Amino acid sequence: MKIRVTPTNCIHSFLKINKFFVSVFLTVLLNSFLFSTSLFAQSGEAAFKETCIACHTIGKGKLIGPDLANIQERKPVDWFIKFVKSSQTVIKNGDKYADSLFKAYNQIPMPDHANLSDETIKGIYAYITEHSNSSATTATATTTEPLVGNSDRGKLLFVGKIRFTNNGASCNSCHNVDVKGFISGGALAKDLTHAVTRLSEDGVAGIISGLPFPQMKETYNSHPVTPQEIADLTAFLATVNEQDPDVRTSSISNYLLGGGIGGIIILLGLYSFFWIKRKKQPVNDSVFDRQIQSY
Amino acid sequence: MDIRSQIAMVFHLDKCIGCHTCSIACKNIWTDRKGAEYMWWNNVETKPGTGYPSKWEDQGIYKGGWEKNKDGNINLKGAGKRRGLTNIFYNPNLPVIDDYYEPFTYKYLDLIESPEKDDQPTARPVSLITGKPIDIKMGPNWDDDLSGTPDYARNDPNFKNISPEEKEVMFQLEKMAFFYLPRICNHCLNPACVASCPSGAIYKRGEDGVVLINQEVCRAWRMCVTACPYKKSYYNWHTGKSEKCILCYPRMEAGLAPACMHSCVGRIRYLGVLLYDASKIEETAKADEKDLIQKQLDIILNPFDENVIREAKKNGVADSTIHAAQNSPIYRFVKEWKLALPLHPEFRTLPMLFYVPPLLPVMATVKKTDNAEQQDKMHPIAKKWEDNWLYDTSTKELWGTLDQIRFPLKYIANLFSAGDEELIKEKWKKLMAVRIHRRKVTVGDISDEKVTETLRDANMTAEEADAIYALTSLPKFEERFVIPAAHREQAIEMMDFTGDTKGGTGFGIKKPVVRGI
Repeated sequence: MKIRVTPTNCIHSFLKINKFFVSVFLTVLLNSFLFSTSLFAQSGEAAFKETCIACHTIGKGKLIGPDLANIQERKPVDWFIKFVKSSQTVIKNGDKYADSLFKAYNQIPMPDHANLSDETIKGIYAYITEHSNSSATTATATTTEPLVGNSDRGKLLFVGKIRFTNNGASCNSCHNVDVKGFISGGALAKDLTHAVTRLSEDGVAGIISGLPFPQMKETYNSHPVTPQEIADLTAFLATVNEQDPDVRTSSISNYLLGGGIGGIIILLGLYSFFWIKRKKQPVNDSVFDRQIQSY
Repeated sequence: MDIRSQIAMVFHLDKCIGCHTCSIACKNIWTDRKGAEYMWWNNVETKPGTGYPSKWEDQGIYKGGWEKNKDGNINLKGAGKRRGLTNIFYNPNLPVIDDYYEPFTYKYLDLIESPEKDDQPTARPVSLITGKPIDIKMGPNWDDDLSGTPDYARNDPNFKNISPEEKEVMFQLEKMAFFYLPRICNHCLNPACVASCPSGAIYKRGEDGVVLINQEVCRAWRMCVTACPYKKSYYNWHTGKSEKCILCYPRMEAGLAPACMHSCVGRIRYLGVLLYDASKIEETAKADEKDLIQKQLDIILNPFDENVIREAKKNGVADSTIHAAQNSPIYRFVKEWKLALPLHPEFRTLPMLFYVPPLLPVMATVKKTDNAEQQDKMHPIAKKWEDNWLYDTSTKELWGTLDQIRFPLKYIANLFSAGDEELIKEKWKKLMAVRIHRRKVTVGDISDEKVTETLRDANMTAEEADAIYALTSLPKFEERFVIPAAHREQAIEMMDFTGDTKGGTGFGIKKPVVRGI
């Protein structure tokens, strides 16, 4: 049987379908609301592990950023909240201490965390204060037994010749390293040739695991890099860092421009050889040349 | 035998007055569009001259047409599978816009809209391609009526095998002569453009042999532009497709003559059907140069032959087409009277446009005479000319004049018979015999013996001469254009069952209407 489509039953069926969609939509909305409220209420510990641990320790020495142990002795919680939310704003407002921190840590700006609520940051502050006293029991990722990285495997991972276990994008999509046998990588993010000098090996590993930068978070959150792969990549970047600077300058990318220009000259030469008998000008060119030109 | 029908044409060059009406009729209907301004599907050239595009006959420059190789086969000179593929992104022998001419118009409105100033306003020429003011370098008939002879007429590619002395004589003021050569697509039996197309966009219509370019399949490789030795395939720079003469097929299907022929002032154009044997095309195109014309005439079959009619019917040629072939003026000019020849048969495309070679420029002679007697007869106040030569068009000393003609025979032979002078001589004898015979009939100042002698010499009868005269000078519209019915209905029935649409349509729309939301 065919259903006749008239304007009225059209609207009817539309509404019916709509009811179903509305209920699904509401359920999704509710769930996300519940989930997000649980974020607001998360403990200082969880927030610290999620946000800070990539660059900071409590009593285990400096990584990319300073060791946060005994922060309560250095700065009050109000300053801490402002700094976490936007460190650069604090520096620009002329805070001497913040500026000295920034300069001491290779001028790597701390990413802004405007999405964290005041309560959460207070929780983090409280957690740090609490754990500064018992510095032996800090909860960092490095407490586990250290993995030995393979530099060669790291290189293959970096250029994408070996796929990451969780299918993350290869590093050279966005990053470049200046090393022999490597055609230049992406220019979107920082050149990592001297990453280890700037950040230390622990810092590099911390960044890959903690994902403090928004773009990296977006890329690797759902495709996390495994600890062994982190160790390999860190080992690779350490090798690159220590490489003889003379070797670097002879990388393939330097040949590309010269090769391109040379290739074009050779090709043009071949073309003019193979098409030597081509028709080169209009047959009446000599007549046209004699004519008076006003334009 | 594989008998097919072909629409063929005859242009009678003795009747062409070079008025370019045909070109304008064609331009107004088909090529007055953006991207097609420079195209002249029909153009009229002055010979001697370099034509349009310049020096199109020089295949050393443009590499058009077929070439016979050592093992006796023919290959395209500048296109084809191997050359076409290796040159597909860069076609090295194409004519450029300066070989045709840069199309232009004038800013006519400036003449009337200019404010009052010290000088008269002028209409400046502007390019139809760029829209900017240009210096006009050339036009499609720049060398018309021998203008610019040192640059154009003297560089005519048909002067090969003509001695410099003979050439010099042609351009002496008293002996100077020229004729007009109207050209359209020849709708060849062995078309080089069709063979060259890498996309397979060009085809020869089965029912009447019209060569067409499918605008939806054309991919602008422009191999046809190179391949056509007559340079009658043009590239439209706006649509990015190639175009050519379509022989006004929409008019022909409605029973009308093509626009150029319909509008012809001198009534030089004839159009009709020929039946030919398609199975012999390859063999004919491969023939030795001296046999080419004879072989081309041989594959055109006698439409009165019972055997031919039976085979044609078996091949699906309609009765009305066979009837049209029997009345075809082309068959009479080309086969019966053997008066018409193809243009440049040495290109081996087997053109289906035939020309009756012009007699006019060779008819007259210039002799030294003593004009004193004539001068004395004139009135005392009349202007007396000091010249003592005579431009003599009398036909008394006919066969003498053929050897003293102003035009070297070789020149005409290079155009119409691949250099065979005897063939041209034969046609001219016939044309002269007709004139002498008619002069006897109408004026009566030539003796019977003389006429009989010339007719015998031209190998024709008085009846034949009268028939040639009738079709040359007195033809009616229906005698010049014998267009068979198009039989579109049969063609459609071959593809679709017409019963499906019977009762279903009437007031037509081509695309189905999209309804609903």
